[in-house]
Amino acid sequence: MVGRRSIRSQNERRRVVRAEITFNGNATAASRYVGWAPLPVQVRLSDPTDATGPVSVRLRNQSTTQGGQVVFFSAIPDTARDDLQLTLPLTGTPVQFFLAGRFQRPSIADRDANVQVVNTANNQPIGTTPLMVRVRKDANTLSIGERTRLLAAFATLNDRGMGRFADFRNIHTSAGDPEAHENAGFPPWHRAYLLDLERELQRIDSSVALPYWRFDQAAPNLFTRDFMGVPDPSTGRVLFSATNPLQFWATDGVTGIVRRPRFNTQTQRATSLQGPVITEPETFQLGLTATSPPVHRYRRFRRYEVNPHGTAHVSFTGSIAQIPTAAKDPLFFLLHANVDRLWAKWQWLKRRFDINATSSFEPLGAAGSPGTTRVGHNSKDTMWPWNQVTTPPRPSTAPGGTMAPSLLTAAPGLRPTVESMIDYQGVLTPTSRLGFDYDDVPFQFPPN
Amino acid sequence: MDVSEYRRQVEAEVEAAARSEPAFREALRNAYPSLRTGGEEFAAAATESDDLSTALAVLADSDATGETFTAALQAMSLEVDDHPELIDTLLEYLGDAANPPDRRLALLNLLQEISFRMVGYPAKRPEYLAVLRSIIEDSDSQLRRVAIGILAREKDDYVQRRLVDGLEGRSKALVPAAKAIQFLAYDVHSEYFPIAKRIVEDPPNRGAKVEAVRLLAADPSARDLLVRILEDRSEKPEVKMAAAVALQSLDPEEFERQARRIVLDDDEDDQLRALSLSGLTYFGNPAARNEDNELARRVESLNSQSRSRSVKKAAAGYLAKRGV
Amino acid sequence: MDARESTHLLDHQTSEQEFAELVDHARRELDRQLLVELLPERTPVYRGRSTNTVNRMRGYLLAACEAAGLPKEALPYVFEELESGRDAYLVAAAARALRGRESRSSDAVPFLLKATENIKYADDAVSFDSYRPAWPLSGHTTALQEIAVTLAWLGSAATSALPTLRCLLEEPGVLSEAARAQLESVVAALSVGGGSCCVVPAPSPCCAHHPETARLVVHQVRSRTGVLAGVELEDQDGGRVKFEEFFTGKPSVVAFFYTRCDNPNKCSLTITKLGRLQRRLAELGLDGRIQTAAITYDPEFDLPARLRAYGENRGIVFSPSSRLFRTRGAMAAVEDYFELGVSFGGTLVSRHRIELFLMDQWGRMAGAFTRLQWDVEEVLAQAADLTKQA
Repeated sequence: MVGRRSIRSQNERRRVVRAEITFNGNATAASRYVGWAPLPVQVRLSDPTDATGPVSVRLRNQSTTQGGQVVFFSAIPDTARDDLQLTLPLTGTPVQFFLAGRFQRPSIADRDANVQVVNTANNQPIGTTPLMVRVRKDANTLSIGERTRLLAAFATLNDRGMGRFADFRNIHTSAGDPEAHENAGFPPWHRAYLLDLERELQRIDSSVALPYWRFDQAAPNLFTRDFMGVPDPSTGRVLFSATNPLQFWATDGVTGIVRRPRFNTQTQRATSLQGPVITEPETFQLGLTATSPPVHRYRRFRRYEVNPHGTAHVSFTGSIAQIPTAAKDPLFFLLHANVDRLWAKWQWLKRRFDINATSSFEPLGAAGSPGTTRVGHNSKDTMWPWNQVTTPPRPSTAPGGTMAPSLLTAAPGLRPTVESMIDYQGVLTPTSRLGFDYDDVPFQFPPN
Repeated sequence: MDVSEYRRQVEAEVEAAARSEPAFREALRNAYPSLRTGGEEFAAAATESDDLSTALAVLADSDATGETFTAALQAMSLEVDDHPELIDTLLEYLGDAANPPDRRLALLNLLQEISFRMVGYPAKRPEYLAVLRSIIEDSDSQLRRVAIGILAREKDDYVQRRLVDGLEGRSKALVPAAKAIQFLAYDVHSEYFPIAKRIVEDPPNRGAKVEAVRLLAADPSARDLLVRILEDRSEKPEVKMAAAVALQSLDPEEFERQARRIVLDDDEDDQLRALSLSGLTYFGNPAARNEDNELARRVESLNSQSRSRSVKKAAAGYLAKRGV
Repeated sequence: MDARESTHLLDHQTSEQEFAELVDHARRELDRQLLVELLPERTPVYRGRSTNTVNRMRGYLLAACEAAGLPKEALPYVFEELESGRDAYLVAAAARALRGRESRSSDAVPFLLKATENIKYADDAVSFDSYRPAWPLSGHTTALQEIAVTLAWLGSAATSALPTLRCLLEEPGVLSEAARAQLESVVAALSVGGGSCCVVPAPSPCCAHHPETARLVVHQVRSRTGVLAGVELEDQDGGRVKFEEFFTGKPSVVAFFYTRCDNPNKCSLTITKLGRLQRRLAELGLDGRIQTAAITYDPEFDLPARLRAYGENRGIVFSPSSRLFRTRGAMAAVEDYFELGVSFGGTLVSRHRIELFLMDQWGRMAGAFTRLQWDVEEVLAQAADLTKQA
């Protein structure tokens, strides 16, 4: 009798305490995605049975050799740590900390990163949460799995011309032209456009992030039949391998894509008849004013709309070379992801995240106030179509509705303003975080 | 890599790319030193408006080298926002058949890039389209084709008529039949369906037939034609694949029936089978997929025994989807 | 042959050249009646042709009204084109046609300004000197230029356009030199004092329809009091219902559209507004009592999945009393019953007007909003009235 009881109590003592992690207040698996920007996370004892007092735990990557890697912060701003020690109260009250992907160690597949909670008393793991360090990558470097998932999500969104992709196509037409181009709002508008599309892709497959076409370098893996296709030499019709779901791509009631490069996609960067796109470092140089000493300003940097952006578009013949038809081609979105990345990287390099500083964005204010320009291009203006405004001077329809929401962040809201696109990592205002990152644009806290 | 170290690395790259002047300005200066305000002082005194006058001089100079011409285009690209009247000069050059075709082609490319911008372009759009219409019969085939393509994507009436006239033999064809039908199909309202059907029945070449079949995805009355093509044993795989893609868009239920038949038929072309299976995987009716054991069995054997990589890949994809 | 007799012989086999000659004849002879007979979309002469061809024919016809005189029956067509059109040739023709009007009325101003908004980023070089101009042309006009000339022609009747025109003149890169010069002289003639731009919204085309349009509409309705029978409908989920089954029992609002419409001011906007109407009905607690529906002009292509996607993307919430339909085989009967303003190419719509109809609870047509943009509140009010009938 006595023996049996003692075995039973031993078993009870061996019964593990469980801990659970919630991301941004959400416990579902659908919220477990992180980029480089720190994400608020909570950990709590979910099953305190057998604990007699507060439990001291260490949080760490379950494996440091495989899968995406995360770093920890007890608070922000703070130095990133490889692991974090916390004390979890018996009551199950959550303890807040912050999590971010370790720069240059993203995931390759969903849930390949794992945060482990270890009981420091006995070094036993008491909880493991799989997550994904999900960032927008160079399309030329995607693994086969990443590429397959991306194309499947894209093709599903297109759904043989019947899917929600039609809205994205219809937004970027002549009617919407002045909302998006050749004015201050060009970069933030396209950032919002890509964000909306990416969130829709993630509703189909949450492991997908929009990759970018790094057009100032050769991208031989992108222009293959298994990815964005190769042109038929006589017609320019883009050819895909039999198993590439882009075979069934359709827009405007017609199947297929027409695109022929003016350059050798295997060996050259994007090149039009006026010459190649400028390189990335040259692009950042655009941000400099002609003053003495020169300083980096937004209104100088956005000249990148001409070269490399415009040059990249017209380095092809076909749909992508003209505004009314450019969004028929899925490559358009990878092109613009790179355009957005260039802005993001310049922002990081020159620390241009302040929504109240003209060096980060101008014109500041709302349309109608002094110094402002056409509505939709000033920092306080909302952006069409997400604002659903269809009275002049806005276009008469607003396809697609409001901005797609995200589980990772409340930003930018259903009807985003121009300025909500600027601090996309939440550098100055953590709640501005939009939930995406680029593989080669890190997060850094502002210098004190 | 430590992020601070990474920052230093990127900043160094940016520094290294800093130039006292853009590459094109150097090229312009080298070509026309006499046009500049002289030697040593140039670097200090050079302003961006110098680029404009030099670029215009290059445009007028038939002896300018290709490199200089390209530099002039680059300069003008940056000048246009402040000098939209430059577009008139570009249009005049483009419309003049006496100018070298390769230069006109390059200049047209610049105009295409300018058309992405709001500044200046809307005011010039009527002239731009007018000039494009005037060169659709240019003797240079590349120039013709690019101009026709731009107009076709704008759903231009004039170019549509000329393309139709060319396809129906009423006037000289300006582009090959496959391109003509492809250009017409940018506008589903261009009434290209009867022409596409005629091309399918009596194709000038296979390329035109493939293109025409694909473009009949928009014509509900072509459904039976597409099915006939898919059931025609003697038809080329390329044509049948175009028909499969078109049918998937036009009548998804019929596509599923055909795709199933094709996958079950070992005598069918491998690429067509792979395509059909892929279509069923991504867009097929999930309930039908899960219940179709006969198809699943065949797909399993294809997965293990087919000699075609495409078929195996498609089979694996189908089985994975079914297993979900 | 008497020109008027010949309009009845025009059909899809009539060459465009013959058509153009007829229009030229009408212009020379000031035969406005002939022009009126060629206006309705259903006129057989438009059958079987591409959209661009139909646009060219109709534009050439409208432009001829400048010289021949603008018949009052043509006014709704002109206003329609200015309010919703996005083709520079047609917009230019409509602006030109106004100059054939007997009176210089200010009611045209909101339409001309709306046309400016529609076309300023999509203007084109056009010519009405001949039916088929060959390029290069020695001279051409543009839609904005024609609008400017018409505003000048209106004289003091265009005073309400002043703020918008000032704004337009300040917008960089939009106006060609010719259009700018024309508009500057209009503004100069209309200005009594200074004043600069601003963010003033243009006066919108009157929500209440032009009296002449309303009269046309009422006339149409009175001629149709029967119930349409023998038509089967299929909805966005593949559900089948007979026309008279769906449209009896409750009053309904039914619009016409098709998913391949490429004028965002027409079908896309119509269905978006239908969604807004739906939400308003729900707000007023009327969504159980008034049905909303739309029927496609393109039943062979607009399969149920397409209808569903199109509606969802525009904010339609589907329910048994809110559906998008295609007909199963009886489109011609529907066309006849509603006297739909639509023309077809081979199988595809080549041209159509905006049209929305009210049906009473007995399945009979009880009202119509055609050609001009309908106002959600106005439709709501009329539909609500129908629920009060015994």
